[in-house]
Amino acid sequence: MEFIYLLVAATFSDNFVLSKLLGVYPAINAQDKKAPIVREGILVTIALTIISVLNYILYTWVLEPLNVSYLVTIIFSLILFLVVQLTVSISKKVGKYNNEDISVGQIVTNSIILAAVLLSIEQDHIMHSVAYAIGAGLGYTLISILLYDVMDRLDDMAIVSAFKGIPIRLIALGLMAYAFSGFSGIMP
Amino acid sequence: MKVDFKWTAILIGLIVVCSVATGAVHGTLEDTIAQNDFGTEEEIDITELLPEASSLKKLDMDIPEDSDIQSIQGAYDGDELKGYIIKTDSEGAYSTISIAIAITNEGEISGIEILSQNETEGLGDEIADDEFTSRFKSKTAKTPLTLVDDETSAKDEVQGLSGATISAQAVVDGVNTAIEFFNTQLEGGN
Amino acid sequence: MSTHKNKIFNTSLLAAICTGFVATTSLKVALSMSIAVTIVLIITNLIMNLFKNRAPNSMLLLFYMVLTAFMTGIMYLIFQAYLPDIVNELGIYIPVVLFSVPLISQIFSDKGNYSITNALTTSIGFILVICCIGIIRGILGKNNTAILEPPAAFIVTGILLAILTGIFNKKKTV
Repeated sequence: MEFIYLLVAATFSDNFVLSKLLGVYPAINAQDKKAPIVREGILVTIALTIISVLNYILYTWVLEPLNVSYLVTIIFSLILFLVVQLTVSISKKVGKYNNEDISVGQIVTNSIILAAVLLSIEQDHIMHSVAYAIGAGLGYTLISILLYDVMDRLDDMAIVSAFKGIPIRLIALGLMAYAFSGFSGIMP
Repeated sequence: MKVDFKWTAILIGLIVVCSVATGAVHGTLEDTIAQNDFGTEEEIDITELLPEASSLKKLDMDIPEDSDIQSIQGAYDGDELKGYIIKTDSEGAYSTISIAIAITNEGEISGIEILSQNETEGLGDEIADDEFTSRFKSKTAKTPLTLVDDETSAKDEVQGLSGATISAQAVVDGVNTAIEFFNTQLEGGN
Repeated sequence: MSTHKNKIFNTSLLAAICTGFVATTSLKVALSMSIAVTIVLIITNLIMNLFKNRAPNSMLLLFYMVLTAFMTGIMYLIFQAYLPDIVNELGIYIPVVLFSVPLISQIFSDKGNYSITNALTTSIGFILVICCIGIIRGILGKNNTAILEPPAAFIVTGILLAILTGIFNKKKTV
């Protein structure tokens, strides 16, 4: 039950992009097609889940007992690099995408990953930490897709030139955040 | 990708150096960090709740496991016990309301504070406002309190909030849990 | 959908702002966070100078990440020791912003190459814009706490970026 609760909370009411303001840039800088957006979202979710589990294990069973929990960022940066490198190259082999589609840099700069990992290592059970990570990834994917649809429509409209590009996307995201804050009503 | 052994070794060396350096910084700053309060324990403004007392000390008491009582603190002025701060949890309409109740030795509620709640905005969350919490001031802690609709000066009655009956009742229930504990376990302050 | 090229803000600065504006609830928070980011950026890039022409290219990013993480850890400890109220307010956002912004400024910059000039230009722009947002939210938030909520941060940043773009583009055409 707690698993589902955390999953839904991290996806909707506590959405990382909208209510925690993380991973904003990768979400608003989406490409011109929908498929790479979905693909990136899935990759982020998978990488995030693996990183979370590895970090949780290392943190609770190695760093904390040794009293060196302040090393968590260094450990995290190593795991982040390796896991992202691995998932990206596997996905390229399996999915046969061209190399420019998804780069390692695009995923490691996503601030959701570090935030979700730091928040999930504080959960009291490894499954909760998994739920949190999956929810964070799904929430990010959802927002990227939604924003793509909004921007698709906005591009045909006459917008003041200064607002074109990033500014109007930020404002659209802000309005979306107000709408999403309604989801907190469904949480018990 | 071929592995470059020389640079892998340098990388490992760098990680070790960085870890040791972080450890050294942590060692020097540890004491300063320990002095700072990071809000793990909710702050209670004791001068508001029990003006006569100046310091709090956690009392080691047996709290029944199924009880809603979270902790009991003795409020002291110097060495003299002036009263108790009892923290309780109470189920509100949508959330668990956490309350700190200050009871004097004479068996009077000298104030309450809502430590955390997540009730409906604009309605239930008014329980955390001073306007509502001040209604508990100088009520009796000898008998349970009841919630009434109108303004009241009776010692065992508290005026509720229109539109937030469940939340207000939850606060009264929480206070009553503390009152019951005060009378049974703390023997009315004696 | 095409990405509009913005003339005054290069991609790395825009990306850094979008990541950093989480820390703009007041001028004090914004200023201390952006200065901390600058310190991390500059020291990391200075140390990277030792490696950049020698280490194999595929490993440079890993070196950079380890160094950034290391500086982030140290800065977070300093925050915990001397600026506890900011730690209380931002919590884990401090390491997140300190770690992500230098990475972003490196990866999204066109001619990055771990150079000090790139670090300097990014951090100056970052300090200015983040502090602007901090001032606006700090002043407006005094009377209206809704401005301090996350959704308002998006809108304030969006409007501010639009205004800045408008002003600078006009100057160029006149």
